[in-house]
Amino acid sequence: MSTETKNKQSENIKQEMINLTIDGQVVSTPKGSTVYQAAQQLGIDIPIFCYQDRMPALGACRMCLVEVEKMPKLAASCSQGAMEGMVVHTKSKKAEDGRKSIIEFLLINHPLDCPICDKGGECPLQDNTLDYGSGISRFVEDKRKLEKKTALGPLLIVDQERCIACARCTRFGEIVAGDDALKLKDRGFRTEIGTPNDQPVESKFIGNTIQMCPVGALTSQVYRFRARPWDNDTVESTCTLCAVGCNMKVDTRDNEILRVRSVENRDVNDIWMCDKGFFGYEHVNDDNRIKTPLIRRNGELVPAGWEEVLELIANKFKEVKASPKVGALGGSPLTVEENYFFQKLFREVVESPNVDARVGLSQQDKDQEAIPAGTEISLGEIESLDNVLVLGSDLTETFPVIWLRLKQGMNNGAKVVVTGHHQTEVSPHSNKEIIHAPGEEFAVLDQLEKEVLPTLKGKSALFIGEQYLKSTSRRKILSTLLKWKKQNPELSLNILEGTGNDLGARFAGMHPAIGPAGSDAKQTGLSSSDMLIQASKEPWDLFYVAGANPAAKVPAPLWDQIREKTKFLVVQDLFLTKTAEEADVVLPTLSFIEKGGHVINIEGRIQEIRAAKSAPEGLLSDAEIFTLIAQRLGTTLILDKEFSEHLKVERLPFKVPTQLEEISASTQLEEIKGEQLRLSLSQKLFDHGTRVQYSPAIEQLVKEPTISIHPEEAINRLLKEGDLVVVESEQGTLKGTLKVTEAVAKATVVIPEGFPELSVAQLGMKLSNATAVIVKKG
Amino acid sequence: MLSEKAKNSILKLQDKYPVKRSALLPALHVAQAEIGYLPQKVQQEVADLFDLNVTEVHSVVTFYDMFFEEPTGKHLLHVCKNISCMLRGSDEVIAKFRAKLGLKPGEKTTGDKQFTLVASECLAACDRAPMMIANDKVIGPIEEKDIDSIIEETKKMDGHPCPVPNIDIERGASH
Amino acid sequence: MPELRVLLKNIDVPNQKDLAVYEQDQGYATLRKAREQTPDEVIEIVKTAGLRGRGGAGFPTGIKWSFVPKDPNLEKYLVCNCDESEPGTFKDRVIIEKDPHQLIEGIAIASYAIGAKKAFIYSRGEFYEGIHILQAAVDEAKAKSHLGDLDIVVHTGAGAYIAGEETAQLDSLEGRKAQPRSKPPFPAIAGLYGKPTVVNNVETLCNAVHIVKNGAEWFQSIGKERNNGTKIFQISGHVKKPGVVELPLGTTLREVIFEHAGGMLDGRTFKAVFPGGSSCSLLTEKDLDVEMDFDSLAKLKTMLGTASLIVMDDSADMVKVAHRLMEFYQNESCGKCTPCREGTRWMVQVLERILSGEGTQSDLDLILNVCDDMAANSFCPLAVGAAPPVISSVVNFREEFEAYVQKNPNADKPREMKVKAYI
Ligand SMILES: Cc1cc2nc3c(=O)[nH]c(=O)nc-3n(C[C@H](O)[C@H](O)[C@H](O)COP(=O)(O)O)c2cc1C
Ligand code: SF4
Ligand code: FES
Repeated sequence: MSTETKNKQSENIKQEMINLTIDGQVVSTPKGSTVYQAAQQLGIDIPIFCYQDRMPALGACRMCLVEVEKMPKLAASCSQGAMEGMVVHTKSKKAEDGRKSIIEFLLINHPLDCPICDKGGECPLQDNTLDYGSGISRFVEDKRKLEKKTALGPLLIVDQERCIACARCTRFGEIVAGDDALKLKDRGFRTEIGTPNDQPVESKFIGNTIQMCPVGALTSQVYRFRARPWDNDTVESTCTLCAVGCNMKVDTRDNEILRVRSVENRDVNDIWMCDKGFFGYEHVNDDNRIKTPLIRRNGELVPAGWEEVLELIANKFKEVKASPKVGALGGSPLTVEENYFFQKLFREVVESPNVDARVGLSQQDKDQEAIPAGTEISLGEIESLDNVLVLGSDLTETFPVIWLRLKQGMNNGAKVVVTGHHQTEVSPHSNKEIIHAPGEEFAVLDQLEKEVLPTLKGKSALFIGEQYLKSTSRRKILSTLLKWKKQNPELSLNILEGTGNDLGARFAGMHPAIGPAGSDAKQTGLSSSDMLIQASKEPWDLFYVAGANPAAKVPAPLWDQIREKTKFLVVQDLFLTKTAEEADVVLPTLSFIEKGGHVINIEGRIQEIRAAKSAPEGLLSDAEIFTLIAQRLGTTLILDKEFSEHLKVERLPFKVPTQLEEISASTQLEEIKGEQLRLSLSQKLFDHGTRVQYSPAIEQLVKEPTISIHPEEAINRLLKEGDLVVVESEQGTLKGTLKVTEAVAKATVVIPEGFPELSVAQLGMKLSNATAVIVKKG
Repeated sequence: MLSEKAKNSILKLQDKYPVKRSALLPALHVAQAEIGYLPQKVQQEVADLFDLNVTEVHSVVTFYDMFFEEPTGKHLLHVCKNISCMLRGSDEVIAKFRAKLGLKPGEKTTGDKQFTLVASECLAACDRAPMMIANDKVIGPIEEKDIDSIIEETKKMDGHPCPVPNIDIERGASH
Repeated sequence: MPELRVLLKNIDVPNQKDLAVYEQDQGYATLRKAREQTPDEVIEIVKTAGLRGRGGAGFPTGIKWSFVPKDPNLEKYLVCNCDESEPGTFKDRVIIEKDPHQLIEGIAIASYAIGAKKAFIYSRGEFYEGIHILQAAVDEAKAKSHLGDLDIVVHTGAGAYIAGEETAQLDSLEGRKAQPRSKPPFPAIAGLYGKPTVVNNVETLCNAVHIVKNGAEWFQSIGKERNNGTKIFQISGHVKKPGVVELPLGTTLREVIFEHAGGMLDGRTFKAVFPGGSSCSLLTEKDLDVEMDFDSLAKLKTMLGTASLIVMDDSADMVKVAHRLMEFYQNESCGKCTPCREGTRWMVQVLERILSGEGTQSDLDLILNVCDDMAANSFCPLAVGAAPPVISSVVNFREEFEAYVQKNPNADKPREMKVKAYI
């Protein structure tokens, strides 16, 4: 830590420059640079293996040797500090001989199975051997014989023979991800890589290690033996599987997606991605995708032609025009443009104000919400923060790559305080942690205000997450934070909630109170939960659901009533979701890899997605479907000029009010009676949402969802780990397996969202954190 | 499972250092002295006491020669094979020990789980070459005729030694 | 010349390890004397005395101490290197088992000089007896308030030669794998937990006691210029009286072997010796009159190292010696850097092949060549030390290697390569 803080301080002090000569060229470089970095400035190529510029130099592989005049031995340029007046030769005979000998050493035990190695064609070892090796080996002994294909979980395969012990992957786990997933074990020539007893690797970021491995030691199970890199077609796009919006490359061959790689963007994902991003595309290839439109005949969904279904829908729209009992639900997986069309189709053609992209548990109205999701700072700024308060956010599960950016910030000296209803993967790295029951947020904020706020020096940030935001006190909490901001102008507010293109859907106007580009809706519609509640009570004319699954998000008996009372249900999706199964018409559509458009990430950054492969035959994008329906009703859907201008900025401004007025909306905490505990809803990166369900590799990473309570609460209720328990709320019950763990606060029960098999929605509509529930033996 | 005694000893060791992780090697010695070796479960227990990931503990355990991941015999015989001892006949001594203990090629531990024999690197008593350490006792120079009595004497010892002083453990705690 | 026992003076005194006995010969009086002077004065005495580190590298101790920043707000540490794993070396064990308080007093003086309030003795884990003796001695010294506010922790290693290298030792002491760190920063600036740290050998620290007690001039009067003081020589191998002998630096190799170690075993003749532990080039008959000190041995392209003489007579098989030592380095390589990890293994394979009668003529030059590459480009000194014993064996006893090679009927043909080219 100490050296890094020092580095940071020296950044503030004026950069001192030093001059040195490399291969006859003079270069001026900031003090503290290495010879390698100085050579890079001159465009001089020095081969490396262990060095990776996001981590401190290790100096282990010795590939980067150069000759430095007046030094007796060759120097490892990656770790050799550049010094005033130094004279360096990278291409002298001595330097070249040194590198030849390193290549020879590296290859003596490296198998020559390049023809069947996935890395072939993009292998730094192969390339460096061609460029710097001698071409001939003097090694005639037997090569090391080791395990060639150890699967460490569903994503990763390790070939021990190919490993050159550069430690990039293990140091990634130590330095960048902080998960210590892979380790070099044993020592000397027996050094191997992996996990104890070849246990599956525990990580959300292992795809990065596959990408960083300079040989074919770490390869992807999904990509294994599928292609040679030179045969692949590559398209750059944006991942929309969470709201970080990592930049990525999609490699395809013969119109089939083979793999995804990350693309450097310092402002967003740096060079990283999470495993959902790396492997979650697999659902696109899944055979369960709906292949034709479906129509309900005699109670059964049967294939139908586009003409027929579009005509049917258009006619229905004519029938229900201007009815108050019509609603459009969904939009998070759709592009901004598609969401724009979706709301326009409803607001202007069907003349219904009931549009909402938020389909799920808690939805606040605009007043309660107070400030919508978004970050004041850009993700790229996180690395240079001095202090971060993570309030009620499970970063690795919800915004995984933000954690990587924050960890790098910690490596640079940032101090991190964490609060929440349960411990998270960030906990062991935090400088201070407060675990507390839902509902105690104000006590915790008070404590922070006294103990932490006054100590914050330099650039500081508040990351506030779903645990606090899905609370009836949301507005009041945010108002406290605004007060903090007033006291400390260097404190930024960052509201981390939502997934996919949630921000894009909202910006396009898929919100009952908000029109396109943040304007007030001409007429305020019903929120999705209000629509659904109404539809459960009295007849409802039509629901149009696109990229959402309401049937999985409300209590089952309630859904049955809704379905019974809904006269016409249209579902547009990739897969036959629970809602689609019960629809009158099902429209198949395209995934984010088969279409283009814009998406908006958590920072309000407007990014593009691009089609990496052509659409499956006979399928239309959401935008095309909306357009065709509108056409049948005599309207042409176009992006109006003014709105498209908005999409030309880099980032939407994140508007933070200076203060929030008190409103009468209920901020009263429900009282806890007797045996009751407070509910905390949690999120998992690998859940059983529709797309993960059909991505076989990621699907295997999903852990069985459990109902978690603190050991003391378990003892009080005579419960133990593994018991089948029932959770009861005023509105419903939920059965599941109990987990007893000290990671959870007392007086709290934590249940994950996103699992049909443990559907927390069964506990009622409009659930929020701190809802009182009872946990008892099932 | 480590006994409470051993866990307490480990916590006390941690207190000796400015950063508790520094006590990891001594702690692993304590755990090994109690259990006899360091199976995964025990490594996990130690990892928990240090708030470390077990992957980290495992990589440390496998790096150092004195830690065993497989069960060993009750008694440890380290016979030095390094140069000074080799010059004074350690190869023959090791061969004789193996024969007396009935160890087949490649075997380290006797069938009755009484002895584990390790041909070790220099043990810093080259003046007594060829030498060995039986549990915690330095013996040497070893003559061929002594081997039987060394084995017999060793049998009377407590077994698996612990190099860390002043600790409290329950030898052979369950695992 | 008779032995000159300074450090070993009391090792045969019964119960010397007990504090009461140690106190009888001015025990801890020197520490009190040191504390009457300023830390800088203590450093100055050691500097003037010209004490050079006894751990192997021979770096001037006073200068090392003076690198430590004086900032009183900075935590500083002293680490006593008692890992003693260099083949042939066994002096530190003798001291900690027989006269532990001498070391503790030295540690306390050094800690005072550099401003450390916490000191660690990193002992190799296999010193079962020594560790317990040290701990008891530390406890006794503490109980009788000799240590003042200094806390000494006796630490237990776990079997790794590389843990003796000072930066690897710091990683090991932090509870990690013992792998060397990049220098700079040097430990005196950023060592244990990133704080200024001095690492000194057991024998070095014991010398400090006698220097402070008797003065710099006294120390300079022993040995030779730039090579002052006594040295504990350890003699093992084919000699009549293996053991430790303390003599002034500069005593001839011949005298150490033939007078103090009793000469060669009956009926045997001297063949070669590794003069400074296993990580140096061997010397032969013609070199017997070399003076055993840092500079004289350096002139012969070998090293004083740990002053551990591994003596071989005419029965020694130099191919086996080379093979055994290379195997040692192979087993002890930490695996961090490419040349050492791969080079030691490769050389063991070649030497094994030669021993089994499948060597070729070209193997001998290959050995010289690869050992050079390995030592030239490694990360730390381990691989630098792995090459000389093997290179010097081949160079001085090439005919023995050739005799093995001649057992191979195809010795003159280059061995069939399994793989001719990489790509
Ligand atoms: C592979 C290797 C092993 C070493 N082992 C030891 C050792 O066991 N004891 C020791 O004092 N120094 C050892 N050293 C030397 C130390 O790195 C360091 O130079 C020494 O402890 C400094 O103490 P001194 O200045 O008192 O000599 C070793 C060095 C290397 C490269
Ligand atoms: S030379 Fe390299 S592999 Fe060998 S011990 Fe040093 S760092 Fe480790
Ligand atoms: S890149 Fe410099 S040593 Fe590996």
